[in-house]
Amino acid sequence: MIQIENITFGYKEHKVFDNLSMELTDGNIYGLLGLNGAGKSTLLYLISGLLFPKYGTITMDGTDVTKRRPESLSETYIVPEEFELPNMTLKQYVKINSVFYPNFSQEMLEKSLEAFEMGTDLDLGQLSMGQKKKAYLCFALATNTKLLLMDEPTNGLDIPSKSQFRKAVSACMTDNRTIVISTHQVRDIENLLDSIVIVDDSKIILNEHIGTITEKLAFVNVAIGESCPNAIYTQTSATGAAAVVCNTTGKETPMNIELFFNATLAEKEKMKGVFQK
Amino acid sequence: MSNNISCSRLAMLFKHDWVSHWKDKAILAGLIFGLTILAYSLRNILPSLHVTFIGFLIWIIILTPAFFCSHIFHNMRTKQQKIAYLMIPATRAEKYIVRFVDYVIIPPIIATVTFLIAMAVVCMFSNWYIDFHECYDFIKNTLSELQGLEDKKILFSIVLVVITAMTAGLSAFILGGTIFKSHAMAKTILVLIILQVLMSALSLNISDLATDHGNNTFFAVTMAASAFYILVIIACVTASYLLFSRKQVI
Repeated sequence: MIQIENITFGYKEHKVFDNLSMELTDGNIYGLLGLNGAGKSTLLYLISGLLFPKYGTITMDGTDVTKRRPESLSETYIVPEEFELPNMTLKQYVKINSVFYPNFSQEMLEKSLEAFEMGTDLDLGQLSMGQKKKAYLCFALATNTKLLLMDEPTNGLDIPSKSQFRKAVSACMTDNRTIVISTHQVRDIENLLDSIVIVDDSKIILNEHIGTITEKLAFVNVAIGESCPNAIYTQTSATGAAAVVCNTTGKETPMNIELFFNATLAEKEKMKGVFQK
Repeated sequence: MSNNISCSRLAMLFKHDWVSHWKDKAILAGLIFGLTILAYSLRNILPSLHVTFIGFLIWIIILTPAFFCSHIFHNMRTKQQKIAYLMIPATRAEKYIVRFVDYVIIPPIIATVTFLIAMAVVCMFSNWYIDFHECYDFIKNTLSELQGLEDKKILFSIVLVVITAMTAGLSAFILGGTIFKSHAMAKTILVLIILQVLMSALSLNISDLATDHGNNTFFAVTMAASAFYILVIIACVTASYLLFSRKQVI
């Protein structure tokens, strides 16, 4: 479990987080959403111990992540938005890196590569950027670490690879694993998430389970010319409108993450009120 | 370095580092080997070029430790590389030790061993040979010329001050390599030149003191200088380690 308590962090004059607290529990895939520059990547770096908060603490199962102890590092893997892979074969890469991860699974690596329609005989130096990303994601999933952080993992992936990515992540998920996916391409990770965390204005403005969201809110389509007077938020399009309303019927509707994200940012107080009830 | 150090993790980390960065050392070995062979091959054909190549070789052997020391954290020059290295499951001390061994200890050894191998190859395939007896006799005669304990003491203090000064210089390059992301060697040389200029007045007074007051004062001054250089070594390496352990991905 990741416990973030009252952290304050900033870059020189610019304060990114002020007194931020949150908890990430095992067995969940979290979607970390926010506008550009909201601090999503910074939060991932803070959780992994790559940045040190000015005040406050971040612990992973009780261990301070800023200490960068091997015990916590071997249970943490981060996939940054941009990365570099050495000029070597995947086999060599796996050989020198997998030894650091006690739960590394060769079987899981092969399954993930298969999900991405890739073989194991890869020369990392010869791959395109998208293929490199897929190989790197497969390695990250195969490490089997308790905490897996991914920053914009679907950037650079082609359309079929995005659904393959969802398939590979679902296949690698276990009850004692926590996966945090930071993205602004919310459609890429739809149906994959268990919880949503929204970062805005130096704060976590929402951290809720998908089940709770669909229990309290309903996502409805409104035809052209019709209105939805009870809507908390409405988003119009050429084919009509999509609205977020309070779920008064008790019947759950499919989650529309993009709509939910826009509603949360546009109607902060109303949405806060819904979840405080 | 209060963190735990595990031998198995050190070995894994060293293997990781070596496999990822063996090319630098291979280039160094190739360069020294090639230049040595070339220099001695030209000995009878073009004596003037032979001297030039020997000069190159000496410069490379002198600059190799400084070059590698200032590239101690060359593996962390970009944000992505920094993330990759800092996230390896090993303690900070282990990561520092591995980089230290790989970039401070190993390159001079590779340079020396390659040079000796190249010399052996030259001796094997030419009529040229090294007279080790002559070398031994030269050292023996030089030492025998030292009169009594006093001269030996002075010689010891000179050797010590030279070794500590050179090591202090290298430790400055290690610190420079930790602080500067790019052109670490050039920037460190610049800082050292500035420091040298600032300290020149002081060192002038010390050398005057040494020459004015005879052997005992000279010995005391060189020993004090050695102690100062040892402090510089400790300070630079400690500062480098502390800076490394506080590195963040900003």
